[in-house]
This record gives sequence, structure tokens and C-alpha cells, in this order.
Amino acid sequence: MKTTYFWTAMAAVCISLSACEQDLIPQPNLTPTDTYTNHPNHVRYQQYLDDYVQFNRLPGAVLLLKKSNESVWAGAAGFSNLEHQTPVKTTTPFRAGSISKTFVATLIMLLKEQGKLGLDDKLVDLLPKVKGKIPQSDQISLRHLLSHTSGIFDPVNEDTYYQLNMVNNPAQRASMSADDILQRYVYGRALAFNPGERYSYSNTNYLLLGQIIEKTEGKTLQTVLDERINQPLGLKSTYIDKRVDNNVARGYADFYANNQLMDVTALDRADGDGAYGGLVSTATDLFRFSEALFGGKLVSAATLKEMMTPFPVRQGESIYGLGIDQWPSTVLGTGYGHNGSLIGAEANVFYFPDQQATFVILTNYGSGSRKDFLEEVLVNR
Amino acid sequence: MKLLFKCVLLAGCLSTPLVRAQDLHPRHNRSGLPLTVTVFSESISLPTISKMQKGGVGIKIGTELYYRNRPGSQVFQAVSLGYYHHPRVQNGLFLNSELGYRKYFGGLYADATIGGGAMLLQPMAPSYVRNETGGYQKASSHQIKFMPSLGLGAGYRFRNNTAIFTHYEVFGEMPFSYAVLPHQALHLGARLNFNK
Repeated sequence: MKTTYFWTAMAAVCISLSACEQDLIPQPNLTPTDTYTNHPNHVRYQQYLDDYVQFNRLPGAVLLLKKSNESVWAGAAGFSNLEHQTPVKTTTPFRAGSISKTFVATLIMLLKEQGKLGLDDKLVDLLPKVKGKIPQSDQISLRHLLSHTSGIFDPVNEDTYYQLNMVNNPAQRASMSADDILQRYVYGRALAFNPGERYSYSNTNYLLLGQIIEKTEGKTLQTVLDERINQPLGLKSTYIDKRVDNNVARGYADFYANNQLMDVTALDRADGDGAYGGLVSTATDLFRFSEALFGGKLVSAATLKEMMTPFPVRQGESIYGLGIDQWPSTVLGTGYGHNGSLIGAEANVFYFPDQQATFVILTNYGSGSRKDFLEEVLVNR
Repeated sequence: MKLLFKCVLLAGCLSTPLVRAQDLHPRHNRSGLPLTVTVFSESISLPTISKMQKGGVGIKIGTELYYRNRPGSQVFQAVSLGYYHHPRVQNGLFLNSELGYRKYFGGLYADATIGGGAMLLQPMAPSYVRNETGGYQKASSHQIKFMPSLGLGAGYRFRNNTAIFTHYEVFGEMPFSYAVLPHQALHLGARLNFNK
């Protein structure tokens, strides 16, 4: 009898507890949108975007196109917030993930142009605290960090414990500082190869670059970004620090492989962090940045050339310059820019010098998408 | 509630053949079916002790049926109902069954288990499904998952057959976008015999 009571009580507790409420999703504020309906190719481009969203089953996306013989066009499709069925607008901010790296690399190059940093400066001299904690820090240069040729361990992509710890407690990961990450997941790990020997993408390189910028300038990365890029270019919706912003498109992923889109914004906030992946921006801001960078308005032509040139690794090959990646295309020629990928977001900004064309594409879905249509849209016929 | 019923039914179906096997072949413990109660800490993690993270807490209640019950060893089938609450991530209500082997060294014992079950999972983050018009609507807040499990334990059995023990368990959520989402749990519990 006692056993029966016990089981009944247990069942009641379990049922009542399992009825806990899910997360409440905040509603975004309505923001004004830019309209491009007067663009001569608006209908055609919007159709491409709608098909892209439909084909890839994306919750939402923004596409911006700039071709040499046309004015800028931007369009939006789908939803930025499925809970409140909020339509994506061309002005909706998205998480841009690793596009942060191009911004951070640009800040480093600006400091180099001012003589505050040198590309051959060694990590141990720039950040003495890593001495004895990151092997060969006296041989790792700023150039190695910028070009992902340092060999430093990348917990974000290579450490299952890091990834599961983030799923286990996203809020705790989000509250960790760069030093916490280094201390817990990077210090004491062997280099994958001798500095300069090979290319291996590591978010840790940019985590360290963010710290180098803050130490050199004595200001937060956000302040340096505001002073050197955002204000001069008039970027009003671009930031890299952690802040509450309900207007940012929420991130979604087929997390449980059940054809459902789970809201993974908490994971994106945790994973998309600081100098290596914390950037939030809009299509227009990213285009302005790309146009200024490749138009020589931010750094000198010589510096830009250095940024676009892949590091000559001794083994294998690399198409990654100093914070600038390549988009190889037989149709458009090589594109230069960066992509960003989080659990619930994907972003791309690439400039194709041969076509004098740029695209920016932002989605709030992290499981990948096919973008073949871009070649067809961007090629000058 | 309908989902909960389905979950319990599914787990029942999974464990039924094993219970029947117990009816046909194994001998019952002379003192009747024991009641096992554990409280446990849970975290989403690969198996680790040194890198153990704080996660959720849970409770598990069950019983054991014996295929072989000798003074020095036991082969048993454990059937359990449990629940854990992992703050801000998920809640899980599960029914599982595990096959185990236990070896005694005087009053002390060690055991190992392997099993599976059904879990009614409630992620704290909402999910959405695409409808026929290409729009999205909110999906059910509960999902049913398969829950494979492996465990190792150690304990002490008193003269009245009551035992206290600790049990380390690794279990998974399937399906998951990368095959299985691993969890680990550290149980502290007691096995009680009521029907002497």
C-alpha cells in the first residue's frame, strides 16, 4: 500500500513538473524599413530571394546586391521572429558570426598603419600573460593570428566538451570572459603545428586579437570599433559587445533532426562571442563596410593588398588572407570577404573585383543553405 | 497529456518482453520486489569526472526483477520512472529498463547496467513547424526521445537486504542533429525491501 502511494505521488510530481512553461520570447519593436521597390530589377531579385528562402526552408533572410551598372538593391523575406510572426525587414539586424573577424582584422591593420602594432610583433610581447600557457608564443606573430596559421587550439570547433558545456548551460558560457575561455579551454594545449607551417581556422586567434586591440588602445573593443569604423562610416546598427536587443533576428536550427526549427538564440548569444563571432549588423551596414574596405576608404591600398593575400604556408594551401577569406567562382572570379556561421545564423559578405559586384546575405538559420543563384544574379552579361 | 501517455506506453512496450522473461525464468528475490529510489545530478556532457558541469537534478524510482539471485552475484532487470529538471534548458520524464549484473564482496558490491527507455522531453526553447502555406506555427512543447543508457555503480548491502549505493550513468537523447545528445548523471540512492 505504501508503495502504491509512493508511486502515485511520484507520478503526480512528474506530470506537474513536466508542465513547466517554455521560454517567453520577447517581441521585437517595429523598425522602419528601407524600400527598394523602385529598383529596375526589384521583382526579379525579390523572386530569387523568395525562391532561396522557400527552397532552403529558411525562417527568414535579407539579400543585398550591388552590381557595377546598378544602384544597390536589398530585399527581405520570411520571419525574423517566428513566435511573433515578425516579418524580416531590410533593416533587421542579424548575427554575423565570423564576419566579426574582418572588422577585427581591419582594426588591427589601422593600428599597424598608425605604428602602434607591427605584423611581425610576437604574441608573447603583445600579451605577456600567455607566456608559458600558449606554446611557442615567442614565435607566433600578429600575422600568424590574423591568417589562422598560428596552430593555436580552437575549442569552438574542435572541443566536444566546450560545445556540450555550451548546450548544458548557455547562460554560463555567455557570461564567460575571453580570459575565462583561454584559461579553461586553450591554455596548456599543444599547438597543432609550428607557427606558419599550415593553415587551420581557429577562433582563438581572433579572441587573442580582440585582447591585443583592447590592451593597445586601453579601451573596450566596442569603443575602438565605434571610433574607428562605425562612426566614420555611419554604421548605426553594428556592434560587437553583448547587449539585449530584441530586434535582432532570432536564430533557428533543426536541433533535434525532426524537421522542426528550434529557437537557438540562447546558444547563438553564447557561441557568437566578442572578437571572433559577436558581431551584430544589418545588410546595409555590412555593405557600407565592405564598400569602404575594398574601396580603400578604411585602409591604404598597400594594407588592403596585404589583407587580401593568403599567407604562404609551408604545407598545404590557404586562401585566407588577413581577416579576409575568398569565395572562388569560375563565373564571377574570386570574391573577397567573409562568411559567418552560428548554430542559428548564417551570414556572407563578398566583393567580386572582376564584376565590381557585392552581395550580402543574412539568414537566421544555421544549418546551411544553397546559394548557387548568386552567380546567376551577379554576373554582368 | 496525450504525449505523456504515449511515452509511458512506448516505454512499457519496450520493457514488456523483459518483464515477461523475468516471469518465465528468473527467480524472485525471497523478500519480494525492492523499491529503488535515487536522487541524481544531471548534465549534458560526454562521460567525464574531472570536467563535470553543473546541470540539472532529478529523481528516479524503480524496482528490480532477478534473472539470477545468488549470495555472491545477481543478474537483474531494473525498471524505473524518473524525472529531471535542467534549468533553462530542458525537463525530462522517462521510463526505462536496464539489464544489470551485480557482484558482491561481503556487504560491498559493484554493478554495471545497460538499457534503454523512452523520454518525454520538454526543451525550454520553443520549436516551430512549417505549414502547407510556407508559414510557421508553434510545435508541441514536448518530444518523445529514445534514451539509451549505460551505468556503473557501487554500494553496500545491509543484513536486512536494504542497500545504499552510488551509480554513475551515461544516457542519451535520440534522435539529435549529431546522432545522440549525451548526458551524464551521478545518482545517490537506496534500495528498500518492504514486503518481507
